[in-house]
Amino acid sequence: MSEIIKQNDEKIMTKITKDLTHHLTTRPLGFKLWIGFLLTFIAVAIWAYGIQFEKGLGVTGMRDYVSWGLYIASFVFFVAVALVGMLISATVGLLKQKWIVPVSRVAEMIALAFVLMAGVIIVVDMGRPDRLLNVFIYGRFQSPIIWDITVVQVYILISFLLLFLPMLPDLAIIRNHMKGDLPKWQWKMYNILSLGWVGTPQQYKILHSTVRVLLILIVPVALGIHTVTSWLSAMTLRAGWDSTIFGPYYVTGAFVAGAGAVAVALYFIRRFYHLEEYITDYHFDKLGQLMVLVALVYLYFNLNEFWVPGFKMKTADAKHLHTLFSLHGEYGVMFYLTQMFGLILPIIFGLFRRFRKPFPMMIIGIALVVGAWFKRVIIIIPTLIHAYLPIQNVPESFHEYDPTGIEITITLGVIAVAVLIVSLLAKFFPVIPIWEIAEEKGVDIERDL
Amino acid sequence: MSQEITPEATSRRNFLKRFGITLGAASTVSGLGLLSACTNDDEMVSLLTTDGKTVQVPKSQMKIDLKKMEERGREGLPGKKFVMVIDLAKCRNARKCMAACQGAHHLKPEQHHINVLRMENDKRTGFYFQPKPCMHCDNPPCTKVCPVDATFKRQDGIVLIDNERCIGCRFCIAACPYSARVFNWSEPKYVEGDDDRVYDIELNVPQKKGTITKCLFSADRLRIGKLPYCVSACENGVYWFGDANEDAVTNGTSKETTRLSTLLEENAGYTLMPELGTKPSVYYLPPKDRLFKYNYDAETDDWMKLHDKEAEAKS
Amino acid sequence: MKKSILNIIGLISISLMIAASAQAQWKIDDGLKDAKLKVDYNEDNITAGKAIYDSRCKACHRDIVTTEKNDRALPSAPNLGNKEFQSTNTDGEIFCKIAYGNGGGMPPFEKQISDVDKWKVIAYLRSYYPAYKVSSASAQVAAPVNSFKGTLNAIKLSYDSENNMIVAQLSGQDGDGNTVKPKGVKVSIYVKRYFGELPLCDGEKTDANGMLSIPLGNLPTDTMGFIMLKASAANNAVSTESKLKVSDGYHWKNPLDGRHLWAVRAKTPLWLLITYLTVTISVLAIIAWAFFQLFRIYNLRER
Repeated sequence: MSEIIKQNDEKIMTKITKDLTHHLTTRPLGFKLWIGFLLTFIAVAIWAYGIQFEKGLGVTGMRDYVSWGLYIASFVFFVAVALVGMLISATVGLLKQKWIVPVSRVAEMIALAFVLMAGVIIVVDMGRPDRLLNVFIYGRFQSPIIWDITVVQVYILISFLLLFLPMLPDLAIIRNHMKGDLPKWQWKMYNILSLGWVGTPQQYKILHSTVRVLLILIVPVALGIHTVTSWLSAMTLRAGWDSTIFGPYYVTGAFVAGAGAVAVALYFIRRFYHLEEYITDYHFDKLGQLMVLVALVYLYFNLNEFWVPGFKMKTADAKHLHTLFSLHGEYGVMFYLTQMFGLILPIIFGLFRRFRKPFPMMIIGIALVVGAWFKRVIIIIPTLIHAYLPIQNVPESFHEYDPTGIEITITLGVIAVAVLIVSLLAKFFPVIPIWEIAEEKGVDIERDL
Repeated sequence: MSQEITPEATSRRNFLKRFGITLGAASTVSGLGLLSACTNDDEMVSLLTTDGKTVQVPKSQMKIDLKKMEERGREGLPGKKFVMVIDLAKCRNARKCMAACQGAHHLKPEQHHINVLRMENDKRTGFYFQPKPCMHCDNPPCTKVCPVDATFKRQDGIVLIDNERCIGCRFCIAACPYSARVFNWSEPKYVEGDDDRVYDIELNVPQKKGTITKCLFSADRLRIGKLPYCVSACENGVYWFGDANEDAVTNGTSKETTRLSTLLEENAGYTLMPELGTKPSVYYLPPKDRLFKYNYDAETDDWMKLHDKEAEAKS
Repeated sequence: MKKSILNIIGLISISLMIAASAQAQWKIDDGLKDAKLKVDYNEDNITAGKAIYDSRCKACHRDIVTTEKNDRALPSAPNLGNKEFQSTNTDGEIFCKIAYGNGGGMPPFEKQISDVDKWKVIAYLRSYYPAYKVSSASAQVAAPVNSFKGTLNAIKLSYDSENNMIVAQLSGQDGDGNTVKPKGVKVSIYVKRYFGELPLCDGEKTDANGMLSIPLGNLPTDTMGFIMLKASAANNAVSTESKLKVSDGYHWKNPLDGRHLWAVRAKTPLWLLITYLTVTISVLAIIAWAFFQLFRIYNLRER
C-alpha cells in the first residue's frame, strides 16, 4: 500500500516539478530580446545619469519651487508597489487563503525588486550622491528621512528572507532532479543556494516557524515603510500635504498599485511559462476581488482627502484643489484621467466576474500601475507649485514643472531595472512553490523530494 | 628661515586661532618645513599680535582651518538672540538689499536669500513691498527634517547651513513654508578666487553644486559687530537689526538705535504666518502711512529682465 | 565682473532717479509762497522739530550739517543744512515741499505730519542756518545752546539704585575760576549696544546742581549686570565712557540646552531616541534570528 502511495507521489512530484521548472532550462529568443531591450534602455539611462552627475540636478526640470519631481514621485511609487509583498504574503497568507500559494512568490519578487529601486532612485535624486555616507555617519534620529531609510533597509531584508526561505525546498528539488537538464553554472547556483536542504522534519519546522514570524513582522514594517514615506510630505506645512490621514492614504494606495503589478506579472508569467494549470481563472478571480476591495478602501480615503478640504476651501487648499479639479488647472486633465483609469474604472470592471479573468485583469493591472505612477506625480508636484508666498523675481520656468528628457530617461531606466530584476528572478527561479503545490496535492513532501 | 617658539609666536598662534587660522606645523618646530617656507617669492603677510607687535608670517604657512571655521560657525555667538525688524511702510522696491546679498554670497540673479515680494492680500487692499529673508525660526521646520544636521540652529538663534555636509535631498526646501531656501542646481556662479577660498560656514561661500543656500543673517558680519549686508545696503530705512537680549535694534540706513520692544509695540509689529507655529525671528511693521505712490511697472521692474540686460550689456 | 554689473546697476538707477528728479515737480501754493514760520522760533519748537525730523525724515536726509552746498549726490536725499537750499527757499516754500513732495524721491507728507509739526520741523532746519532771520517780532531768537557760561571740567556717570536712575554729574568753573555746578547744560547719554548706541537722553538739561537723572527703566544688561554708557555735554565739550553695574545680572539660558525635534542629533528628545532604538534593534534582532535559522538549516544538511 505504501509502495503504491509512494509511486503515486513520485508521479505527481515529477509532473509538478517538470511543469514548474521547465522554464529554467529554456533560452527562448523572445526572452533574450526582452532582456536585451531592457539592458539597452538601462545603458542609455546610466549615460543620462552620468550627465546629471556631472552637471548637477539642473539638467532636470526641477527648480527652487518645484524642488521635488519625477524622482521623488517615482520613489513613492516604488515603495507603494513594494508593499504587495506584505499584502499578498502576510495579510492574505496569514488569513490562510489558499489561493495565494502560486501568487505569493511573484509578489515577493516584485516587492524585493521595487524596494531595491526605491533605494536607488533616492540616491539618483540627491544633489550630492558622493556624500551618501553622511547619512549613516551624521544621521539625525529626528528626521523622517532617517526613519525612511531604516524601514526601507529592514523591508529589503525581510522581503529577501521571505523570498529565499520558502524557496529552499524548491532549490533542493532542482538540485536533486535536474542536474542533467541545466548548464553547469546554473545547477551550481541552485546547489549553493539550497543550503544543503534535505527536507528533514526538523528543517521544515525551522522553515515554518521562521516564515511565520517574518510574515507577522512584515505587517508592521510594511505599514511603517509607507506611513513614514507619507510623512515625507505630511510632516511639512504645505497645503495638499498637511493632512492627518496621509499615512493610511498612502498605504491603501499602495495595495491598489501592488495588486495591479501582481496581476500583470502573473499574466505574462503564466503565458510564457505555460502555467495555466497552476495559475487558473480562479486565481485571477480571487485577485480581482482583492483588487476591488483594496481599491474601494483607497477610494474612501480619496474621498476624504479631497472632499474635506473642498468643503472648507481654505485659501491654500483652494488653490491646490483648483489645480487638480479644474480642467484649466495645470494638472486637471492628468488628475481626471488618473482617477478614472487608475481607480474608478478598475473598480467598476472588477465588480463583474467577466473581467476577473486573466487577460482583462492584465489590462486592468496595467491601468492600475500606470495610474499609480501618475497619481504619485499628482500628489507630489502640484503642492510644490503653490507655496504660501508668491513666486516672484525668478525666471518663468520656476512657475511650472517641465520634466526634461534626461529626467524621464533616468526614471524609466530605474523602472526598467526593477522590471529586469523581476524578469530574471522569474526566469531563473521557480515562480510557483513546487513543494507547496505538492503539499496541496497530497504529496508527503517530508518523505519524498 | 626657522621659526622659534617664542612667547610672541605663541600669542600669534592664539591670536590667529580666534580667526580660525592655524599656522602650519612648520612654525612650531624650528627647522622643519623649511622647503615650503624658503622660496624666494613666498609672500609675507603682516599680522598684529595681541600685544600690539607686528610680525611677518610667510603666507604659505597660514592655513585657514576648515574644521575650526565649522566649529565656531556651529557654535555661534553666546548670549545673543538676533532679530530683524522690517518696516514695510518704508520699502519702495529699490532692491539694493537683494543686490548686496547676491554679491556677497556669490549668487546667481535667480537665487534669493532675501526676496522683495509684491504682496496684495486682497484686491481691495492695494499692494505693498515685503522683503522676505529667512525667518530664522525658533521652531524651525527645516532643521527638524534635515537627515544629516547640515542645517541647524545655533545658540544665537541663527539657522545656518553647512555645505560641506549637505547631501542635497531638498527636504528642507519642501518643509519651509516661507520658501526661504534655494538650491544650487548646477555649478554655482564663479567669482574670482573661489578656487582657493576655504569654505566659510558663516558666509556660505564658495557655493557648492548640489547643496542648499539661504539667508544667514550675514553671520560672518555679525561676528565682527557689523550689520548684515542687506540691512547696510538699504537706503530707505527699511531694516532694523539687533540683539533681542539687549532689547535694541539698529537701523541700517540711519544707524539709529532704538529699543526693540518700543519699536514693535508702537507700530504693532507682527510676524508672518504665526499660526504655523514656526516662531519667526523677523518682525514686520505694518505698511501704514506709506509715503510713496507705487508706480509698479512690471516691465521695467522685472528683476530677471534687469539682470538679463546686464548680462547682455556685459557680453 | 561683479564690479561692472554693479556699475551698470548704479548707472541705470542713477539715470532713472535723475530722470525722475528732472521731472520733479514741486508744487508751491501761491498763498504760502512768501509765508514765514507760523510757530515761534524757540527752543521748545526746535527740539520738537528735531524729534519729528529724526523719526520721519532722517532715514533719507540723514544728518543735517551746515555746508555751503549740498554734498550728497543723487539719488541720495540732500543734506538740508546746505546754505544754498536754506537761502533760496522761504519758510512757506519749504512747507509746501514737505507737504506735496516732488512726485519722485521726496514723498508728500501732507496728511502724515500735521501742519504745526511741519512748521516745527522747519524751525529745526533753520537752526542750522546761521543767516536765518526770524521775521515775527514776538518770535524769540533761538536761545544759545547753553545757558551756562564758564568752562566744563568733567562729566561723571553713576547709578542711583534706589530710584533706578542713571545720574550724570557735571563739574565746571565759572569765568573767575570758582568751582560751580553747571546748570542748564545739554547732556546726551547713550547706552552701548552690539550694533550701535541707544540714546537714553539727547540734549536734556542739567538742573541747578549740575546733575541730570534719567530713569533707566527695564533696559537689559549683560549677564553680570553691567551696561556700558557714553555721555557727553555741550556738544562734546566733555565726555566720558563708563561701565556701570545696575543689576545683579541674569543667568543666560542657552536656547539649545533642551532636547527638541528641531535640535541637532545629540539633543534629540529622549522618548524619540529610545523608541527609535528599541524598535530598530528589536526588528533587526528578529531578522538576525531569521538569518541564523538559515544557518541552522544549513547545519542540518546531512540526513
